[in-house]
Amino acid sequence: MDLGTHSDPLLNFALYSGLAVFLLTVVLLLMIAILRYTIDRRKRMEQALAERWQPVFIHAVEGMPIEAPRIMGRDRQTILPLWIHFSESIRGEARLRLRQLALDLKLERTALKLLARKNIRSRLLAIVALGRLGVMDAWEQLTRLVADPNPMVSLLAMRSLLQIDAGLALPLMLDELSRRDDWPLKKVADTLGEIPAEVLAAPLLQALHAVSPDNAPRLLSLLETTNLGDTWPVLAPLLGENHPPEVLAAALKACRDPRALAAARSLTTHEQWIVRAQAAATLGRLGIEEDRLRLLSMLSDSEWWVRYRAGMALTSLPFITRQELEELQKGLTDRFAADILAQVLAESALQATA
Amino acid sequence: MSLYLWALQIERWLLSLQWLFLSYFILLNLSYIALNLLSLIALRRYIDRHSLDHLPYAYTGFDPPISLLVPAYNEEATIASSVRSLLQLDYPEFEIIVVNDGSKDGTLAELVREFALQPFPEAYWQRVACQEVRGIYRSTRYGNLRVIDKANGGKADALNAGINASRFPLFCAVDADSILQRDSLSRVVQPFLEDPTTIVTGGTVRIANGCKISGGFLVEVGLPKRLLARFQIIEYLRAFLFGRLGWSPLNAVLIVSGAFGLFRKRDVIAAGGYRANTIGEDMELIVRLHKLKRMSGTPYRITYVPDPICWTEAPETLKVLRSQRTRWQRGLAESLTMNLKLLFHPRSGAVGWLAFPFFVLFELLGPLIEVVGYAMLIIGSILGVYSWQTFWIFMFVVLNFGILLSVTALLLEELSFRMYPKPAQIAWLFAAAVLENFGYRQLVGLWRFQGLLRWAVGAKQRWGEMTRADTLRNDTKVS
Repeated sequence: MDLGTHSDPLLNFALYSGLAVFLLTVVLLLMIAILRYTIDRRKRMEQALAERWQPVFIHAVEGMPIEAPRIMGRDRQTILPLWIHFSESIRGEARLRLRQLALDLKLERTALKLLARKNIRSRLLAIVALGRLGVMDAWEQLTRLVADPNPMVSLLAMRSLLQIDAGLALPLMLDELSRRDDWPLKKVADTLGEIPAEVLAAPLLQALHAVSPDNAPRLLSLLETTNLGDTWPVLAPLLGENHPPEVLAAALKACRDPRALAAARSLTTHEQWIVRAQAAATLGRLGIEEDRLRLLSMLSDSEWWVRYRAGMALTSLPFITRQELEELQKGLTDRFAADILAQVLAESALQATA
Repeated sequence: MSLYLWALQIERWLLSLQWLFLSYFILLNLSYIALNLLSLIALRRYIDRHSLDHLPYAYTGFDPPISLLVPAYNEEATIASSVRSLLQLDYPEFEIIVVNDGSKDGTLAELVREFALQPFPEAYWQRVACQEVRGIYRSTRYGNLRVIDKANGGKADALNAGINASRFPLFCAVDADSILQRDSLSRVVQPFLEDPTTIVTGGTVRIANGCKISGGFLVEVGLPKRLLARFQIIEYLRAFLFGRLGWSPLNAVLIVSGAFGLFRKRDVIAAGGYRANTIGEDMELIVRLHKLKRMSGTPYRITYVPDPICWTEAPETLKVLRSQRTRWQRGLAESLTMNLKLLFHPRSGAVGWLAFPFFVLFELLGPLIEVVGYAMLIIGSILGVYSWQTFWIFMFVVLNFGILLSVTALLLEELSFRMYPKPAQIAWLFAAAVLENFGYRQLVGLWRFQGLLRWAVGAKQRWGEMTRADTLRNDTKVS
């Protein structure tokens, strides 16, 4: 077959392909124009609605008398995200007043309708709205969504359940937490951070008692974001040397109780550096006079991070003065130890002057 | 052999070559259309998943701290404003490490003066090889700013020094002349939060020419006056919106722009850091990470974030553009050939069986085939092997496909981020999408071909000499 013959079917095919591609390009161009027109129109409409409704929401937040305009059916889906934005930005009584306004406007019905849609954007919006509105009627649907394979849908559904009834939803959350390792820890922490400590404390500590070594680090790291009071009874069993290094490191990081000192000291010689580094940091928080020598010897550790944490720990101990540390630094014969101590001393001096 | 026989031989040769060229052309366009469809799906999913991102959430200390590494070589004019804008990024915890790679100008002195730096006795920890570090400085004004002064070794070497000095588990390699969005770190870190196996994320880089810059940040998106820069906007849209996004769902992204990429430090150190003996160090590292992870069977993800988070200045002269494109082509060639083991390896998955062959065939050898193809078509038509009708029909098809792909990228942009708000801007971009097919693309193809030749003969090239308008950092419009 030769491209050079004009009657060649290949040539005809090429010509028609070119024409088809040209037409497709024109269609795409028209799509861009139509898309731009419709999106701009929708944005203008949303803007007009926002201008009408923002003062209403602000009045509700401030507890002023409200004369809410009538909502047209199609406007409800535009107003709902606006309401969510206001609701997520405030707390306390103001949020409750805003919630009441939404219930008066029957926005929960809009949210329930959106929840039944397939479109994920609508469903996410509905999940957030139902939680903020505290719609108990949505409990079962939201519980089902906790099992959704999409971690975002699942975690947002969990968050909404916690907003509807934290006491009831928390055991479910802690149970799911061990199964859903696709839940981003940051988002879990954000969610738990919204729950009052008195509601969170008992179930979380109970979960920590029963936790398997695999899930312990995730759960332990959540301790940092909460103020649970006495955590030592749940941490103590996790500090045994037989535990995996990740568990030991996470448990040491969460320790704030002087009873952890003995365990921290014994873990300063652990074979894994992440454990030794956390042991040094724990000694920095809780250590006493007799830990000085132990920390000094850790300045010569083979791992930079252990040396650094030991240096930091030494500078944070209240019974060693800066002058003493400077003299100690000058006397160190190990170059690595001397270098790291010089660095942490310089860092603390900079922090003091900042 | 008589002249007649020679002519017959050439005719036969040209006729058989036409098949190669035609098959290549069909395969190329089918691949791009498939990538487009994948991008469309990925973009839709991404936008849906992030539809609630605008809602206020509190920082809870779980955002991993990030070390920003800023390699600098002879950046005296712009380095202070670059660092100042980086210091204003909206992220809970980050440090900035500027690496002065043996600059011959006053880069270090400028940094010392502007940020009240003082020598700092840091216990420097060399985990990846790099040139000698001459000194480490710390800002007395900004606790999160340090400067490494080292002997010249190139950008890759500077990044390695930055990795050695960095404290945090994630590091972000940033070009000193890039403009970042204030929330760029929060956006690019998301895949690390969502999937613990993530080791690299890259963001979309856009062209800053024509945009309004204030206080080191982009405040208004505009179009450059010069057609050359407008062509590059279309190229960037194509390259990022489907060239990279399309590969992301397959976990086969082979390029993360050197201008902005976030890496898990542990994995980069385990891979040996950046290779100083390549000019395409950003791509080479990504391909090598794929290779190491695939060969060891370790689960991992290299993800692309489509949000426009980094803006860079595009060359506005043919000379600088030519130098950039030949350099990029050489970098591509080095990155692929250094990791050739990935190609069709039984364990290499979509990377070795789809992305790698795609890059070899269409990105690496593409310029060669294109140049030979065009030359063959012209010579064949002049010699009468093909009719001029054939020539024009073929050009018609090639140009239409080129325009189609650019318009598709424009459509993806309209469906997603709509960074160009004025209808006139879209009209101009469409005009650029059409016009770039008449000369510009062919010229770039020729430069890439030259880059390929230079790589083949082993010519040396180091830090890219990029003549930039220093206005990028000033409160002005970049033109």
